[in-house]
Amino acid sequence: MSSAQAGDREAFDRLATAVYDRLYAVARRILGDDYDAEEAVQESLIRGWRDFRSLRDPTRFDAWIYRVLINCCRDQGRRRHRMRVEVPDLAVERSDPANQYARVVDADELERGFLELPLEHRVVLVVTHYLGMSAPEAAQVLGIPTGTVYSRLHYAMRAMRAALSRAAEEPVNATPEVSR
Amino acid sequence: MNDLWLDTVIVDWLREGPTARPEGGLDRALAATRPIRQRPAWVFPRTWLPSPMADVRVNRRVQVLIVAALTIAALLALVTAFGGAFRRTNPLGEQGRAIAYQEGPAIFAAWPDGSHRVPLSGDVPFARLPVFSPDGQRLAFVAPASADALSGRLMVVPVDGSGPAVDVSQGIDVVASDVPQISWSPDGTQIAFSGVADGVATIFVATSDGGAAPRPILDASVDRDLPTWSPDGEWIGFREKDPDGLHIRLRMTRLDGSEAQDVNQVIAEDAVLSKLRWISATGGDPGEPGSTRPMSYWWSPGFGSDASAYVDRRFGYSGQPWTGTPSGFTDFGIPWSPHGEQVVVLTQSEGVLVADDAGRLKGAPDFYNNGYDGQLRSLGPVAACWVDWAPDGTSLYGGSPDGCEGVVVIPLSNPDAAIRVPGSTAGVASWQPPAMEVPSR
Repeated sequence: MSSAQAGDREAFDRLATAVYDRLYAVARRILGDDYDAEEAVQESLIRGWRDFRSLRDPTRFDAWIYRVLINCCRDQGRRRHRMRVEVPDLAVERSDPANQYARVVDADELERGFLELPLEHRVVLVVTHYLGMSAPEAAQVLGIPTGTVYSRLHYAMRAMRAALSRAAEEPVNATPEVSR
Repeated sequence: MNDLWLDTVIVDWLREGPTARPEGGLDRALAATRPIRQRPAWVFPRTWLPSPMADVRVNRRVQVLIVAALTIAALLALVTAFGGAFRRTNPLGEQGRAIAYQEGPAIFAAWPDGSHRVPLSGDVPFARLPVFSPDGQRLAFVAPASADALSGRLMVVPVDGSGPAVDVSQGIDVVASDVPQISWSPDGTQIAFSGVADGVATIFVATSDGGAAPRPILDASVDRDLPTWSPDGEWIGFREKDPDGLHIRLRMTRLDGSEAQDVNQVIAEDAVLSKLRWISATGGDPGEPGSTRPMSYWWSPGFGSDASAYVDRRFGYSGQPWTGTPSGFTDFGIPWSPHGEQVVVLTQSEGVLVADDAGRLKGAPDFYNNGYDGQLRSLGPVAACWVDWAPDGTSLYGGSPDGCEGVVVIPLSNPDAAIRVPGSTAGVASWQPPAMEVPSR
């Protein structure tokens, strides 16, 4: 860690390799787009290499690089101006647990509902549930009060539940019959 | 669907996270973190030099020297690139004031006082008989193989120096006599010249840009020389001599050789017929449709007779403003003034004579068979060999009276104030026409 901070490229490469998958997963979940996620991660590593020397406590690298990543996600989100990803409805029987597509449909609905949330709410959900941080840790990473973390979690979960409930009440898209 | 179950689904989904990672994404990200050596755009020499060179530390003094050297190089490049263009724009100054003349084996152009002197024959070893194009932008001349050769190549060169001299005769020997055997078409696209083919001189027409091989306008059965283009561009006049040496004719023909007709003819060994000169396009009575304009030439029936300055109005109307013994190159003919108001005659007895009576010259009813009774003004022996008009009509220019060793310019208002063009040597010169719209054909 210290050698990477001192400018050792190989040391930094090892660090970046170790965290890349999780960084990408966070960015992909927040942004909902492969390309945007890769762009955000790449930018976060560039900033990480550039600013690593300014990190006073190298043991806090993970928290620090996540904070950098979240900022990059915000920037990328602003650039793209599109936080809604159109996920096509699949015409499947949702209620049949044996149906092999049921899980996919649920995941799509979850992602659609998630992406309808404001970016800051998505960030809080990902940091706490995917990265497993506590509310105080998330607050530190995100640079916001702990109470704000809680409130955003509350509103985010409520919005997700509402989205899923709406999806469940909507009529199931059946495969349209082809007129003969 | 209760909230607890939904919360469980949501949290499980969030904890699972995306599983796929972009192929090669890590490599791309690590590559993007490689340092790129940026340099401040404003720091010399980093703005213009590649990074490895720009990083070489150079002290301020050396930087100043480099900047100075680059500036000088840029200025030199500008002068090289555009200096020629500036010269080409106006190498001879105001158009219509320069004379092209022979200076030793080369041709130069300069104002009568010697200023604006420009060499025009380039690398051609010998050059003679310059003739400006009607628009004054090009010069035709003959390039003989030696100083005393009687024929050579016909060259055309732009006077602004924008290109080299072009050989437009393309292998045909152009007659290089005392007077130019060259005549530009009024639109400047063609040149008629007397060329030698199979030992016989005949009239060829060449494109003035050398783009096509010259073509003879008539067969080569007899000698023909002194071509001259009519102001309307429809006719070419020339002199024709039968092989017997007795029959001499002035003739004119269409460019395709059709409608060939006599202007005058004499039958005598010592007869004289000179270059035919049409009155200018702006002068004279255009005459009846299809007719040609008044023309002038030296004429002598031979048998010891005097020669006459002959003005032929065609259709049988003619007259001789002066009769006697001509001086200089009779082939040069009787030049009309630019506006067709006067003619000038070079005589042995009275020197330069100017016939001023335009009415008599151009069409007075009694101007018939020696009917000229207008004024003849003698300027004295101010020129020799040849004399012609300056384009503005206020001066004459010709061979110097000391034996044609140079070119003189003679103000009509004060012939005694004639000046000699510095550097000029023997040979017929040509005055650059003023800028004017060339009539298109």
